[in-house]
Amino acid sequence: MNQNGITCQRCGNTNRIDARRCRHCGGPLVRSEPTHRLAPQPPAPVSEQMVSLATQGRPTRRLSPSGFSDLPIRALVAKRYEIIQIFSAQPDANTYFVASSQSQKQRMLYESANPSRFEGEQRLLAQQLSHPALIEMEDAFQVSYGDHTRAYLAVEFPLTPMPSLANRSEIEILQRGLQLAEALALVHDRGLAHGNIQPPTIYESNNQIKLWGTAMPVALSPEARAQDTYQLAGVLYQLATAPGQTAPAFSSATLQIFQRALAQDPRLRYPDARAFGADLQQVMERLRHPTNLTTMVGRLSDVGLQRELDEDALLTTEVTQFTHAGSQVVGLYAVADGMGGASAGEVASRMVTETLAREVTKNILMPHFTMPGGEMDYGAILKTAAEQANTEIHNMRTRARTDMGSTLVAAALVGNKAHIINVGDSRAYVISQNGIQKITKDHSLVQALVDRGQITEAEIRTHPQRNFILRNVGDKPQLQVDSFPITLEPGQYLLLCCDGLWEMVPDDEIRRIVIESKDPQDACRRLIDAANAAGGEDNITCVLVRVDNARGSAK
Amino acid sequence: MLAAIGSGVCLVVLFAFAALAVWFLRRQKPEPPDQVPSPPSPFLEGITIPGLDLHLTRENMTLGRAPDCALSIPEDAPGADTLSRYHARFEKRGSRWAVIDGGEEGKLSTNGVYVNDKRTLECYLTDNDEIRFGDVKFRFHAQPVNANPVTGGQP
Repeated sequence: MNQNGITCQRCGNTNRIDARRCRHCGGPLVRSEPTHRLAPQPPAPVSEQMVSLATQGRPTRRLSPSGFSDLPIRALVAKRYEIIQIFSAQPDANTYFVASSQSQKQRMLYESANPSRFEGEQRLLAQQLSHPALIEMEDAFQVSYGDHTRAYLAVEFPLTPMPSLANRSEIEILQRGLQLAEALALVHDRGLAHGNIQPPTIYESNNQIKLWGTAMPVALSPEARAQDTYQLAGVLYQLATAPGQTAPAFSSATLQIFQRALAQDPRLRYPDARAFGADLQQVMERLRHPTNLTTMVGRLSDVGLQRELDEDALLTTEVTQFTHAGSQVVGLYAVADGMGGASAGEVASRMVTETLAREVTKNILMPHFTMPGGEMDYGAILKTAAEQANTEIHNMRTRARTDMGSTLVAAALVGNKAHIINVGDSRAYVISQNGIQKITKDHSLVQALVDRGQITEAEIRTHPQRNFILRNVGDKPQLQVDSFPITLEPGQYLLLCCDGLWEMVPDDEIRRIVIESKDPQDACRRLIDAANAAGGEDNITCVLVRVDNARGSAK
Repeated sequence: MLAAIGSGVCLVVLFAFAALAVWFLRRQKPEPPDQVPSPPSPFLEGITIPGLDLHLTRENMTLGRAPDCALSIPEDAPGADTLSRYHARFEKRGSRWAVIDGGEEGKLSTNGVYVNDKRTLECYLTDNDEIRFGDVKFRFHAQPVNANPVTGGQP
């Protein structure tokens, strides 16, 4: 009778199909009200047994589980990572490019069939470490898919695995090594051992080297600390070696570090990442800034006793930067001795120093701070600046029909390297406790006579034609400039001066005054006094640079 | 005899009630003379069960074998025995639709949800995506095929 009846879920009795409440227990009757229609198929006769099974819940026929596979595009993982692209799909691991609604950032999402795959990363993640050379991990978690569980790890994007460092400069490699060592030291500081530093755990993101952070389940032992450091050095060495080569093209200082880090005997190796990093930093700083120097500069110009006008000009410009990495000096010093009648000399010498200041600021100082570490040919830049000044003065001289010109001695000091150029008879000397050395060679008639062996060095100062200059800035359309690269030791002085000084004061006397003065400015004053005491025949101008160790006293 | 009269009275009362209900519903939803098509709702086109089209008319709809699912699949439909009673949920989020494994929070279906043949617990849908629940397959249409369907109920 009640073939189309409805079974009460509360008491199990059958009611009329149109009944709203059970006539046996009064409970509400739930009726199937599908919102769909099954158009082509007429409603199949439903047996009483089927209806009762439907309402009681017939067990679902279980299909064979699909197991681990990649997820579809636009799938949401853990309600916050939406898959945008599948990077790689493997039998037991997948990699996705995802959008994270948690951080509003694009991330890499690693998925593994091994539920415990990212436990090491989870351990490190719990420490909330942050370092530019540690891959930023957003989350590590597991998701159950019923028949299996998958492990997930969300990390920063983009990442390039195993970046080759072979085409990087040594400084760049040392810098990356230092950063990785710092990151590893940070992991060790938290009592965790990485335990698996291999080339595939090194990544690069926007030119920043990155270590894939993971941690061993055991507490950090001194052996594990040393082993991590050993592995890190090995990976660096490997990544820095060009394909087809057996070793990176390192300087001997850097090679020494790696020889120690990768020594056969573990006892010889670095005990931890910090010690390894400290050595890398030391060599890096030495390569970047030749030595850790500072300077003290004196400068003075005097008209002398016999001239009415000081036609000389001097220029000192210096940038000294003290940072945690040490001290670095970039300086330009110049002396120009102007010549020519009718007020032309002082114009020429001023033009030379102005042009030099402008060119050196543009081509040495600016690039030095905007492109640190870049190699520059300072001698060539100075030469170009002198040529520029020559062209300007020569043009003016042609227009004004004067005989204006200027000597020039200039030094660009970068670290402990000085690049010196000269035109004419202004000189550069290096003075130390033990002696004085003339660096430049005058472009004068008397110097030419010395070169030919016709007169001696000592006779230069008294020769009647000693003021005859063979070369000066502005004289000819083309300028020949001599360049002298030198290295300065802490405690040494660089003296730039015009003939008004060196013709009046013998070299040894110059040295004695400089050494005995309390500071470079005092020395300049006393040098000029000495020149005037000896007659003061010409304008006297000098620039004296004392080079010192930035830390501690001079040797 | 008395029973017959009783049931007759019952019938009359029922009929009157039904008429009243129909009138009430019509009054509530007066159909304007110029028929405006209802906003297009996305729908699932039956693949393994041809003709079974499920319209996503609400923002949160459960699909399964259970009769109280908003998208209830008949027990005897082919492959329906691979469906869980509460197999999956369709949810509208902003302008997008998502399919989520399991009708109830935290309880997954027995045989899983597949979008374009890939297992997923939760996935946003796009037009023409193929969604499989156990052995039952649908195609997701973001817009009805006939954009301006002729609605019934007109004379």
